[in-house]
Amino acid sequence: MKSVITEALILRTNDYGESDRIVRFMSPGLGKVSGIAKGARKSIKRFGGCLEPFTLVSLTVQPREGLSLIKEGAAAKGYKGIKNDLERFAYGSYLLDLTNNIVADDLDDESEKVFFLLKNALALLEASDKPEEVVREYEVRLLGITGYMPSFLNCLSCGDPVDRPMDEAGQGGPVEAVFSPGDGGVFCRNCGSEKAGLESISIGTLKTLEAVSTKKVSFSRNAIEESGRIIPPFIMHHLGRRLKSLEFIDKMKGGV
Amino acid sequence: MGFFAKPIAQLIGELSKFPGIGEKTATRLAFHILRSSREDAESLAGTILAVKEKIRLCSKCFNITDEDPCRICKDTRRQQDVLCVVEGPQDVAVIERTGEFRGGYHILHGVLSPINGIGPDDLRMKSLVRRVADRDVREVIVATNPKVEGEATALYIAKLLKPFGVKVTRLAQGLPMGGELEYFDAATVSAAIEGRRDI
Ligand SMILES: [Zn+2]
Ligand SMILES: [Zn+2]
Repeated sequence: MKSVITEALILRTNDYGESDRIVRFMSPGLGKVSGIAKGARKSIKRFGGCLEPFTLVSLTVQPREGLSLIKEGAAAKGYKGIKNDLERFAYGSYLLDLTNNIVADDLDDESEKVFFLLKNALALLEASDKPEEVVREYEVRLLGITGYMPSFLNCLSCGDPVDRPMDEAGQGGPVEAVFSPGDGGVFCRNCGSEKAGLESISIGTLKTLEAVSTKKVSFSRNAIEESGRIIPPFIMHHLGRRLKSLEFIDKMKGGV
Repeated sequence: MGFFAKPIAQLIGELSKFPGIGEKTATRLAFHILRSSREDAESLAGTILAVKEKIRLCSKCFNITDEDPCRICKDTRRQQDVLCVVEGPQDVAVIERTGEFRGGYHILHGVLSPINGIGPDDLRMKSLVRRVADRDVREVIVATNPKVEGEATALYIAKLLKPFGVKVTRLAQGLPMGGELEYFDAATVSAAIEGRRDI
């Protein structure tokens, strides 16, 4: 196959052998790709140190089965605001890690959406003083694109909207529902009452999460806190393991 | 490799696991060993085993050593109140070669890389804090590589050591000696501008 030039976001890198580097990147046209850059650690001329996480690059790639060949690369943007700030680095690492783990290698049609979603999230994170909001928004939108969106507003058991009022007059609507990471959604008050150990989540937060996938919404302080308690556990349940990058965020929050 | 006798094929297989050694070089090395004397072969095998048996980590700085504490930690003529933090033992060798640094070392054995599953607990971070807390360290020089993860590691160390009031410094970044400006990438030049100094 012929070489192509593509924009890409570097997700992770591993040094390989004497001077090579194996690079995982997200490209709008090629999707999530693993490639090898021969001599990358020595050749400033061909790569100029651009093969690092948190870099938007232009790559010359020869797609191949298994490892593609990365022939050249130049940095287009370095996301300094993420690299120079430990908290943003922690959240940013999680964004890349999540993308690397959730996005399927053959997500052909949706790769462009994922690429621009990630590019946008990194740009927001770089300047944001609310990194958690950027991350929660990214999680939900990524789940939407990859087809794993939880059910936020309809009870998984009876199907009713979880905010349905109690009586005909529309009075006494519930203020909370419970979220089950294992089942991938919410249960209304009735159906959820038998289930033990589930997080209670306010209807307001659930509405915010539902709206995030389609429009720009601002998270309330409570919505950030509550969604942080349900979305990562849902994703970890789905992946079948905890991501180290998420543990690192928790560690940073706990004061190193 | 099917046409070689099994023992030699196995040796080629083992040798080609080394970094930078392809099958061709491995074959050359294997035949060199085959042709060498029995004593030479035994000495080679013995040396390899000795590395595995005698080399361990210094209990103070975590450098690889055959005596504990290592020679650098034991050397009382070296500055005791300055520590240089590096990623790996090979970095110690590089800094020692300059002859510029006369303090002690602390080897992390890696860098912070949440994306690659490496958190602070996978590195020698707690022991660094203990060393700084236990004795009079005046300065900690962070000499991790000037890459994204090396930088994050440096920021983490600075944060970790902040409560102790110790001076934390970072190796300067910028232009390599003997280079020419027009050949450097933007990131290198911008680091050099940021790190400029009075003359
Ligand atoms: Zn229900
Ligand atoms: Zn030592």
